[in-house]
Amino acid sequence: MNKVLVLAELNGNDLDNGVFELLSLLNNLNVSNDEITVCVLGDNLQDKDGILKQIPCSKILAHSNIDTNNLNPNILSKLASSMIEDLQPNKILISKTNLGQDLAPRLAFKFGWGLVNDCLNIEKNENNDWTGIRPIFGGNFMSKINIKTPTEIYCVRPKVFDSLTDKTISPEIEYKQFTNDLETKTKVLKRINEQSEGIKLEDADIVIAGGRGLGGPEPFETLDEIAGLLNAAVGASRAVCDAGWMDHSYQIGLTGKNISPNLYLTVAISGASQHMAGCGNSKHIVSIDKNVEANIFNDAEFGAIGDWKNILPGFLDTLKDLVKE
Amino acid sequence: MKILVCVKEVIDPEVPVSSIDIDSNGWKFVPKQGVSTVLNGFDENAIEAALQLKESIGDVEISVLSLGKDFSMDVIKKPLSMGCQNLFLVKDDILETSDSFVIVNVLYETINKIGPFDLILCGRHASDWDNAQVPIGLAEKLNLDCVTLAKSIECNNNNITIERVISGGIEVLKSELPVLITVSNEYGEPRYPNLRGIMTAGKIQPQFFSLEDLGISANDINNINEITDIYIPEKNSNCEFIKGEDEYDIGRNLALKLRDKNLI
Ligand SMILES: Cc1cc2nc3c(=O)[nH]c(=O)nc-3n(C[C@H](O)[C@H](O)[C@H](O)COP(=O)(O)OP(=O)(O)OC[C@H]3O[C@@H](n4cnc5c(N)ncnc54)[C@H](O)[C@@H]3O)c2cc1C
Repeated sequence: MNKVLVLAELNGNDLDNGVFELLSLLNNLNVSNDEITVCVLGDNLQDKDGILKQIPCSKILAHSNIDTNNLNPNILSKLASSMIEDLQPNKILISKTNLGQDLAPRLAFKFGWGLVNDCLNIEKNENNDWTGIRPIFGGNFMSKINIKTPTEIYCVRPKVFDSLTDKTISPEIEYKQFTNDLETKTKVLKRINEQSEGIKLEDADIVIAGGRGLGGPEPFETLDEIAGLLNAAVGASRAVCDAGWMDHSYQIGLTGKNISPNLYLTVAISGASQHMAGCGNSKHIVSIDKNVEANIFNDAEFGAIGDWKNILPGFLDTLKDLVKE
Repeated sequence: MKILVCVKEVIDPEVPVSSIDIDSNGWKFVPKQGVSTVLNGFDENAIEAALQLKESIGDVEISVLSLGKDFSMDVIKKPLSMGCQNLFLVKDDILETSDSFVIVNVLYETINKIGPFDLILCGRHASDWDNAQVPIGLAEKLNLDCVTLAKSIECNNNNITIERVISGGIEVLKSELPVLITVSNEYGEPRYPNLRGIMTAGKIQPQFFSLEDLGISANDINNINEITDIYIPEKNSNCEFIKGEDEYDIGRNLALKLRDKNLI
């Protein structure tokens, strides 16, 4: 019997999708509902029953009357610690969000427990021991990790698992007043949201991304035009963002955005593993590149080999015709 | 003001997988002959951040700390040629196969010896194991606040303002020294060492420590994570290449194919 603590995060009134994915992973591992407690982190949760009730689990622990200062990890690590001390779990699952990726190591080192960070999957052996699988070296290799401490922490990459949607269970919510000293020297003053015209990269059904092979910022105008026709969002590789052709908010990959659109269309991106780390879960990958040996064609379903300067006009003209139809 | 930057020497992350062997005895990466090591890219960003703070504040001493089995002096002295003042190196064979837990403990003991520092900077993660655990763990161990993924840092007396990259935008935070900050590539390109820097670095001797010097015995070194396998992920490369009379035609056929498959 496991005692699993799943962290969920509520940003304002937005419940992060991670908790649904973690519950789905636990479901794959045949962990039953009565082994799971979901701990929610967020502001003034006592007023948010309606949102918390959407989580398909049987037990929720939430703190009440707390201002988390925009989910400040320095505050939340204290709060999460006291929830952990309360529940004494032997497994902790956290989604690798802005908050989760800070919180997981913080908790691991506070309690001296092992952590599999950026975990892509968990395997269970015949003794019910868990092994975490995580990419290393930018995803060029995979590693399997057994944690040797009594409590194990897994920080799981988002968008790898589908959401668990079980309408048959509804949670019992326990609100707790935590009286810990949550003061911290570090305060979030403000969040500046990206100006995104059109569809957000993370939400788009179709993403068209450009790489270093485009040679400069100008060709992105063509990508914009294609995106307009397809109702798609535009993304870029790190090489493009580091060169300043596009803002870093367009970067897809290990250290950029993690997306999983239905169609990911790349132009002049070689498909380095660090790039694929952010888009490898796309349903369909289609690539234009002049180098048939480029890594991207290991992931692509369809490829167009040649100079984008010639291929894109043919592609765009045809799209325009298709759209007219 | 005293700044510490923690850095790591790593196998060049841009080399193809085929240039690296995996040694399953202790699970380590073994670069093939001729494959070079570099300073972890994000650590160079952290060095750059430290140097810019020095330029704007003036009275700043920057120390650099690294742990490892071996160091290539050309690589590990780069921060000195970029403009840092001191280099501390902890050298022991066992550090090659140590997990984040051990590394944090050794860093902690070293800082107790060479510190204290007002500000500790680290790269957001190391490009070999991609763990992103050490800086945050070190902050926890040192009982410091931690701000990750900085793209700008401004310091005014004890007050520090940080812009950090989050998905969907930027967060502006304020904190007070001492604090630990991890730096991301959004901070901007690190500088190249100039000739004068290289000459100055040549004259600075790194200060070496053994684990013994730090009061750590081999018995204290226990990984808490056990690696059981490392492998190259399988790719099923059955890409269909679009045909056409010329490249324009390939573009055209690609659009038609995507429509045919209902992808657009
Ligand atoms: C720690 C770390 C983290 C990283 N994180 C990320 C990340 O988050 N995201 C990311 O993208 N990268 C990341 N990288 C960088 C990554 O390793 C690659 O360097 C980068 O993705 C390369 O970008 P690219 O594909 O645009 O450029 P390149 O690899 O240079 O590829 C350019 C492609 O364009 C093609 N090309 C050139 N000219 C033409 C033409 N005229 N017509 C058609 N095709 C053409 C070439 O054949 C080539 O395939 C990271 C690296 C490290 C070390």
